[in-house]
Amino acid sequence: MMRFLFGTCVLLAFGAHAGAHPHVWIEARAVARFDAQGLAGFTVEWRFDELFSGSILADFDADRDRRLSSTESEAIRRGAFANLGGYHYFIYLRDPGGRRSGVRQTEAFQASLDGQGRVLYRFFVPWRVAYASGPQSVGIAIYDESYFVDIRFAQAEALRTEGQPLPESSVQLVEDPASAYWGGTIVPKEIRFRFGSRP
Amino acid sequence: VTRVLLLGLFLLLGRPAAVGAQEAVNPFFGPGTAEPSLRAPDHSSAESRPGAVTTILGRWRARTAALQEAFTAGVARRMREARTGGRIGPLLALLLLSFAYGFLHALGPGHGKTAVFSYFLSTRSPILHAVAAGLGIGLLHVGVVSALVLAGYFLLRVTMSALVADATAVLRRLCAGLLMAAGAILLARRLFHGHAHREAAGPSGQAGSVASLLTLVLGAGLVPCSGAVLILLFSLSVDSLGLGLLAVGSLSLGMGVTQSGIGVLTVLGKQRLLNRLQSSRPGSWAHAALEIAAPALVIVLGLLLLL
Repeated sequence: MMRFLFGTCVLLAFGAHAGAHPHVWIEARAVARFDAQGLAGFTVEWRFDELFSGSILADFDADRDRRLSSTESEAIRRGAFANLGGYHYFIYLRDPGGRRSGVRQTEAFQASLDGQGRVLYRFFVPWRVAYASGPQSVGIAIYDESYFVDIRFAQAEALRTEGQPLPESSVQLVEDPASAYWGGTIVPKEIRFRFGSRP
Repeated sequence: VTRVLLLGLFLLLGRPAAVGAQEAVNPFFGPGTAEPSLRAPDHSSAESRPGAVTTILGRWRARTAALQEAFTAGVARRMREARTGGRIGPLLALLLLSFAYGFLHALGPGHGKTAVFSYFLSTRSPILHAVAAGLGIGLLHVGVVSALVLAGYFLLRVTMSALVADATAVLRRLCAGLLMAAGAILLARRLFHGHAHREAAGPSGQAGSVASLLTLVLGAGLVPCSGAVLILLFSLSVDSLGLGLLAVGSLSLGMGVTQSGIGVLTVLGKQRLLNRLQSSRPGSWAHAALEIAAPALVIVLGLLLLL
């Protein structure tokens, strides 16, 4: 009887929340870059799944040589990256005061192919946090709130810092339940970088 | 009785509006995305512990996402195998996998399920209509993508992903209009003729006309399927367009089966519900309310598509 109908409703509602289909998968890395003044920003690398990689090749590998030249890379930046500016490039930063903000600008974009035919995006997110008198902690989270893209950190290599070794520094991957999205069902991970005063 | 029904409707509408009605927007290409999502999420509030339901949904979400990832990876692998092997095995595997992926894919947000549900809730349609509408939506959903990709590849020579994204933006508005029109027609019929019809035909309501059924299929199916775009473009990247077309054909059947299933369940469920309601006075009130609420929901879905 009406359990049928109710079942359908539940199925639909569940489907919406739960089916939650991502279409694209990214394995992300973020590496902090330091200079004489302090944190200069993050080098971010995305490695895409096979289908999306193929779709990028179909659209942008103009000479069909299964390599991405600098011209093709620039076409990808304009055609399949710049639009992400409307989504903060999926990247959220947490300053030493604990405030979060979405990324507005990226630099040095480069698209390439790895040995397995996966497309890689690499770019720099400039973000200045000067050394202070004591240790400070900053964070970076990468996720798509619309969940078209499922992004996870590549664990091992994500947890590195670039440049000179810093005193009292540490890197850890933590969950951020306060930023849960997609109806609260996805808790994004954040890389927390803790670094000391000027080395 | 009405409470259970209302709860069902509430569940339907209570899900995030942005994902309730529309096919997902590809953020890499989606046109004019700037402002709505350009808000840094304000998470200054104290940490909230997820409730039990959220936790269960979260686990379910993670499972289905992992499953979809495996499906897409499998489609890519089988397509390579079918291309190089020349044997029938990998091709069958590719078709089966695409079918299953379509079935699962259509259970996710978008793809017009809610429209199908509301439509068949508001009409007294034969099961055949539900089957036809479901398969029609599945075929159209993928057919539009195939036409766009083929046109982009052979005729226009443009970035196909961008072409699909631009077309999606236009078609979404068209679909919104169609859904609102379908809802309005059904609603007007209820309001102006519904009573007379019920007197004449008993409490069963009337069958949707072929025109309104077609409007539903167009309104729910014309938005391109974002999963099919990726499969077709991947097939182009490995020089196997034929295999790609076969795969998305199978995908569309899988989606059609999901849609038909929802339509058929709704038709059967409604029949049983009406048999129940027939006997009592509150029941006939609930029936009247239902026949107003369901087409209204179709209109709301159209409106949501415009957001």
